[in-house]
Amino acid sequence: MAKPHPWARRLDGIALAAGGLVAWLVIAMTVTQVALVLGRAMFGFGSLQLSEAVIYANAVFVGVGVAYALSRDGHTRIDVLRVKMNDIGRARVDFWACLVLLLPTIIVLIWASLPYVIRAWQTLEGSRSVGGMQGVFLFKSMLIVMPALLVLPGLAMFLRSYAGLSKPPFEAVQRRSATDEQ
Amino acid sequence: MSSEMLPLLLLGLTFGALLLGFPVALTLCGVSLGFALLAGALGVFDLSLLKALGPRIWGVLTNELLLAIPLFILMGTVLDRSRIAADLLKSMGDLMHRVPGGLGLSLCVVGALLAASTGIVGATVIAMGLISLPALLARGYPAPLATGLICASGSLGQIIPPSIVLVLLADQLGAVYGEAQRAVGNWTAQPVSVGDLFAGALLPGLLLVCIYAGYVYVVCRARGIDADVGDAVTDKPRLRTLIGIFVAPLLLLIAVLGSILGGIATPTEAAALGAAGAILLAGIKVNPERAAFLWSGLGALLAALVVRAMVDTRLHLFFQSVLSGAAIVLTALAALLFAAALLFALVMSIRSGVLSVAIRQTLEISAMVYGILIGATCFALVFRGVEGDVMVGDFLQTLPGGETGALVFVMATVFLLGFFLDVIEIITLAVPILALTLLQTIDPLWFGVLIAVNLQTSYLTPPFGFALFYLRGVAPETVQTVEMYRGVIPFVLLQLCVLLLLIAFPGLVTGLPELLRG
Repeated sequence: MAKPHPWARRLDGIALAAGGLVAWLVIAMTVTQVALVLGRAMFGFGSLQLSEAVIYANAVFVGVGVAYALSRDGHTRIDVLRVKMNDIGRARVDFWACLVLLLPTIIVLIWASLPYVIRAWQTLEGSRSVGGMQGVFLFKSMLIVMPALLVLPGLAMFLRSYAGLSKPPFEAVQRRSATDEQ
Repeated sequence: MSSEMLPLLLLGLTFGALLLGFPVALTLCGVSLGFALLAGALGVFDLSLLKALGPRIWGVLTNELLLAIPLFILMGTVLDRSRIAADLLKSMGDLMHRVPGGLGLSLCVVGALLAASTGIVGATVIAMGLISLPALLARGYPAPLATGLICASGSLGQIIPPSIVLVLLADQLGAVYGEAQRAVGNWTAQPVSVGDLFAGALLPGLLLVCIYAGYVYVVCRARGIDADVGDAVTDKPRLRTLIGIFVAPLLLLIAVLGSILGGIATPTEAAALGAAGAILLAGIKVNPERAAFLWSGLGALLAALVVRAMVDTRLHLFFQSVLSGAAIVLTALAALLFAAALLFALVMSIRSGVLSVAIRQTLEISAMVYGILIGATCFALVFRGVEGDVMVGDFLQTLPGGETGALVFVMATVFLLGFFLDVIEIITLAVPILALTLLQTIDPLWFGVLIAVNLQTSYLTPPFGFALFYLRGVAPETVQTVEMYRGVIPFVLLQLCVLLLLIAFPGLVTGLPELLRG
C-alpha cells in the first residue's frame, strides 16, 4: 500500500466526493425508466421530456464518473508488464504518461469540443424533437466538464508518481475482494 | 515518410503504449490525439478532423442503447453486494452434492446463472473464487481443474444474454454494418438489434455451459474426483429457502431476457426493470420480516400486467367504458403498491449500506466502459484520418481464400488480440476496423456471435486474461499461477471447438432469432 500523499489525497478526495454524489443518479435513472415503461405498458402514457432526462442524467453520471474512476484506479490497465515492474518503475510510467498522454488528452478534448459547446450555448440549444427536454446546452457542457475534471485525479497521480508513490497493481482487485469477505 | 506508414505507426505506438500499463482509456485518447497533433504539425494530418470529436463523444454519452450498460451493471452490483449471488452458489452446491463431480457441475450451472444475471465477469469470478475455490479444493479437485472451471464458467456472463458485451457489440456492429452495406450500394440495411444478438447468442452460450459440464463430469468420473457422495453435506436445504434463494433471481433473469427477446421492452427498459427487481430482491434479503410486503408489490405488478393484457387501460378510456374505468383504477392501485414496495426496498437497501456501495461500483465500472468507448472514438477518428481503414480493407482483400480467408484472418486476429487486450477494447477498437470489408457479404448476426464466442477466450488466455487476474487476486497462496494457466487451457480448447461448430453450422446462431421473428 502506497503512503498517502497529502495533496494527492485532497485532489482525489474532490473527485471521489463528486462521484459519490452523481452515483445516486443511477437510482433516479432506474426509477424514472421503470415509471416510463410501466406508464407506457399500462396506461399508454409517455413523456419525451422524462425519457430524454434519463439520457442526459446518464451523460452527467458518466462524465463525472470518468474522473471518479481514475481516482479509484478503476480504469482498466494492461498489467502484463506492470506486474513485473517495481514501485519506481510504475511511478516512472505514471509520471511520463501523465505528461505525454493525459495532458494532451485533456487539452485536445477541451479544445476540440469547445466550439461545439459554445455553439450550443449561443443558441441555448434545446431538444431536437418537439416536446423534448430544454436546456440541452447545459448538459452538453459535460464535454468540457469531463476532461476538466480529469485534472483532479490526473494531478494527484502526477504528484504521487513524482514522489515515487504509485498504486501497486491488483490493488483494485484486492480491495474488492477484501470488501467481499466482510 | 510515406503516408502509408502512418496507420502502422499509429497502431504500433498505441499497442506499445498500452503495454506500459497506463489506464487504457487515457492511453487510447493520449496516443491518438498526440499523434494527430504531431502529424498535423508535419502537415500529414488534417487537424480540422478533430472538430468532429465533440459531436462524436456527445453521441457516445447520449446513446440510448448504451444507456442499458449502467443499468445492467447496477442490477449486477446489487445482486452481488446483497449476497444474493453468493447464496445462489452455496445452495446450488448443497443441492447437487449427491452427483459425482456435483460441486463442479453445480458451478457450471450457477456460473451461467450468475454470469447472466450480473453480466460482470469480475464480480462473478471473484464471488465464485471466494466461495467455491476452497470448497472445490477441499473436495479433492486438482487446483488446475478447479481454477480453470471457475474462470471459464465465471466468464460465461459475456456470452449468455443479457450481457453488456453483447450490447456493446450490437452498437459497434450496427454502425459498421450500415457503413459496409452503403459501400456496396445497399442503403436500407437493417441495423443489428440487441434483441437479435441476444437471441443468437443464447443457444451457443448454453452449448458452452453443457460442454463445460460434460468435460467436468467426464474428468471427475475418470479420475474419481469428488466421488464419495452423500456424506459431505448432512443438512439438506429446505425447499422454502431454496425457492427464495434460487427461484427469485431466476425469475428476474427470465423476465429481463423474456421482455427483450419477446420484443416487449427495449434493452434499456428491460435493464431498468432488472435493476428495480434486483433492488426489490435486495430489500427482501436485508429485511426478511417485510418480505411479504415486497413480494406483494411484485405480485401486484404481475397482476396489473395481466389485467392490461385483457382490458384496454389507456387513460383516455376512463370515462368511456365501465370495464376500462374499473381496470384503470385496479392497475393504478397495483402500480402504487409496486411503487411503495420499490420505495421501501430502496430505503431498506440504502440503510443497510448495500445500495450506496453498489451505486459507487456501478459508477466506477460504467465510467471504465465509457472511458474506453471515448478512447476508441478518438482512436478511430485519427486512424481513419490517416486512412488506416482503407489500408486494412485493402489488406483483407489480398488474403487468399476470399471471404472465408478473411473470416479466418479476422477470427485469428481477434483471438490473438485477446492475449493482450480486454474484450471491451477489442470490440471498440478492432471490430470496427476488421469487420468493415467482411460485413459487405456476411450475416452481421452470425459474425457478431462468432466474435462474442471468440472473445470469451480473451478472458482466459494468459498472460492478460481478466478472469485469471481476478481469480489470482482472491485465490489462496497455495494455488500457483502456473497451475491456473494450465487449468484454463482445456476450456480455451473447448471454446475453440464451439467456435468451429458455429462456423460449420450457422443455424445454431441464426435459428432462434429467425424463430422469434416468426
